[in-house]
Amino acid sequence: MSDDELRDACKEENNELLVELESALLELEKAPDDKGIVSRIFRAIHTIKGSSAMFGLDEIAAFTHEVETVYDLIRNDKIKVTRDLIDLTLAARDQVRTMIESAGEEDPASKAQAGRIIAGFKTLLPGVASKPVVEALTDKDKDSGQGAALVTYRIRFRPSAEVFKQGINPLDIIKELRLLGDHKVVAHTDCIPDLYEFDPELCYTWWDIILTTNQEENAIRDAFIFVDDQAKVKIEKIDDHGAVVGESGYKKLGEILMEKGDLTVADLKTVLGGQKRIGDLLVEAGVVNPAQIEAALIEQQHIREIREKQEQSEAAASIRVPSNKLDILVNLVGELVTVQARLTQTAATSRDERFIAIAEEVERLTESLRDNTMGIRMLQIGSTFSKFKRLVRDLSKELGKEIDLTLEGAETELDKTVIEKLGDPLVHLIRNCIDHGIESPDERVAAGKARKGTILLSAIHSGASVLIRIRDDGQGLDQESIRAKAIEKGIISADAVLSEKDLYGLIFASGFSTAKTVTNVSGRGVGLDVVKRSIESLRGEVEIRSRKGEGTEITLKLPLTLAIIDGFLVWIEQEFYVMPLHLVGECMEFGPKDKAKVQAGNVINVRNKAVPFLRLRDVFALSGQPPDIEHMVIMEMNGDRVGFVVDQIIGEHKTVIKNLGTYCKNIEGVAGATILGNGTVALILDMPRLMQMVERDRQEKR
Amino acid sequence: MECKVEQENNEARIMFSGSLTLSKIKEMKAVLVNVLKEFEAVNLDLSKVREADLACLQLLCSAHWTAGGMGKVFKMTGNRSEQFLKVVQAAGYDRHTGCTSDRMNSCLWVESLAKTKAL
Repeated sequence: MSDDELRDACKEENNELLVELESALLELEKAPDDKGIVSRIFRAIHTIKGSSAMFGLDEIAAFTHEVETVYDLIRNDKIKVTRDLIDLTLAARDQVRTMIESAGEEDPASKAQAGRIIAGFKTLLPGVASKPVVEALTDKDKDSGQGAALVTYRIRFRPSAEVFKQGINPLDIIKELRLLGDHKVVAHTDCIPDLYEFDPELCYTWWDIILTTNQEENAIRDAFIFVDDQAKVKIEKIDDHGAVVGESGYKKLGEILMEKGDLTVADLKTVLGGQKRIGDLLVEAGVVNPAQIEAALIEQQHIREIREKQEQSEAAASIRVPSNKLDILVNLVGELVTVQARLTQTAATSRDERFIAIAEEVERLTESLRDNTMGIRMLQIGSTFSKFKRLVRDLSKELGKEIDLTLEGAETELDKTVIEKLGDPLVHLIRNCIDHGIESPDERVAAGKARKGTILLSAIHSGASVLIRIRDDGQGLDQESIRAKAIEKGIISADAVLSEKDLYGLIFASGFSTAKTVTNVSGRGVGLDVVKRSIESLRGEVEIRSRKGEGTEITLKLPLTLAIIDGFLVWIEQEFYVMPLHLVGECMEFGPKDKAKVQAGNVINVRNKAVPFLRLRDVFALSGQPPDIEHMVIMEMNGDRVGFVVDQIIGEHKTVIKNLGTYCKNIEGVAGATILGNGTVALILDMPRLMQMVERDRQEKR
Repeated sequence: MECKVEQENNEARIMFSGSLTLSKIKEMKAVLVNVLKEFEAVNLDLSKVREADLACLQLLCSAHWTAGGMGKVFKMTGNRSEQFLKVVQAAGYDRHTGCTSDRMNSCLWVESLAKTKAL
């Protein structure tokens, strides 16, 4: 690997850690006493420090060391978590990101900012000196990316009966052992006498401790340093996870007991004559006591758990693949799907049974290959969602508002491309929510609401789409001011009659903003129209619902994937066209009788409802004579129904979307093309745009 | 340490509260020896225990199996203070099955397991 590649690898790894760090910090802000979160933060900082050092980014390593020192103190209850501390750590997190981005370049401003942050941390630690960085950056840190191997030890600890009299509490020693790693502690109470012989000042308990740690055996021995002559301590290495992973199962119960000396071979053999479980047999036979069995069982279980954890972490370990390689794969699968369609068609016409069987097999495999490949491109939306926690926190602070952001469905999966392109529109929408939607705490109280506003960001699967909702409990949209503003801006005429939905839709019009003051957050009237355009470019839809005084809900409906769609194949004048199947509401014949019923302005009456329609023949200026009986496909989008007249309906078709290339990409009403089974090209229709054309057409006619 | 004994038929209900550590174990033992002599059943309430240690756990264990040997019942009420449960957990006393001395199948620590797990 070259230096640059190493840097990139480090950058990628650290970026993931920075995301984890940020979300942990935001959680800590809500639960400042949660030691689990503090440990997560510490681990993230520690790993960033380690990997930066490993990649030679010593400046970042030194900087994160200072932050790590503070979190070490928090872990040990030396200092408390405060809002200031979290602000400062968030700033430090941003600083690390900046330092990673500009790695290797001299940047005095960044250096000064780093200095200020460190100084800030230092004020939080009165009288606590930070270890010198050089000392802290030991080789151990540099290795921390890989982590030392885990070893499991069995420790038998028999303190002498007199141990209390020496002022030693065996529980303190056990507590110290617990700090070394994953552990199970089983106390043995078989030496405790009856109450009449019981001497309160004697210790009768002894222990079996199973400890999985990355520390040396000496670290374990150190814990017993003060009871050396007051206890019998036996430490055995029982599982070296680095060496035995993959070996199935762990030792049998009898083996463990014999190893520990709790059981002799002879006893085991005698007892094993029966058919019961060995544990029960041994206890019944009186050769071992239940506590010893329990200790051995716990040992078995502990090793199993540790191995499972290790296997899980190995299974979770992923390989990084550059996304362009994935794109190539998806493209190839697309080609394969096309060829497979041709194969199926050829096989069907050949009437050769064997050929048809092979074609069916290929079809089945291709389908599962296609689904799997699409699956690889699916990412959880969670990482995009968690970005917004910080956005909401910072913005609400800036605007003096109190807002809780709730996330739902973070595990919902969406195509990588969709997720990437979704970030900016969501930022716009959430900024709008915070700025215009949620009122200031005083206004909310005056309106009888809780001081704290809430924003719910949720994702949920709905058929072949994902619905993303942004709901706030703010002031809602004011229909009157939207109307007034739209008239003022010349977007609608003063006498226009608009439905509630159309009226709300106006806020997505270009140049529209009802905010009386322009803040640096939003209100410049750029944004929402961009949002709508980006969502539509993803073949998505935007829907808005609102109630004045109660809040607003914006729903984005997005396709699961962009590369392959379920298409609906139609035929017009010797050419195939594809429509997105999920928009098709119904199909009907459009014969001479129906044509006679057509009202003015291309509107037809379908079950007593007026449906505007468009002849695709006209749209694409196709010459030739339409058949007597044409067909109409009625599409449904955002609650509107629009008909499209075609010559013939062919049916469902899995469609691999291909771009039309630079020269043809701006053709109105065409979203792309696909290759059909017989090798011909079919255009994919851009239904939202065509529906807009219908709408425009109608308005012009009015 | 404070100790309150209430009597109901043949059952004694003992509430130990405050600190049950090494220096108090002798006193605690005396109380337990007496109630086991007088009553058929002893019910311990440890909900007000502020502090406990290994010596206290050993004593309770001893009292439990002594009672079993006498054919008497020795048990804890459902309420145990968090501090007490933490010591049970720290000492590794919580378990799935009682020891061989647990003749009545009523080991004090088996029941504690579910509670310490919830800590």
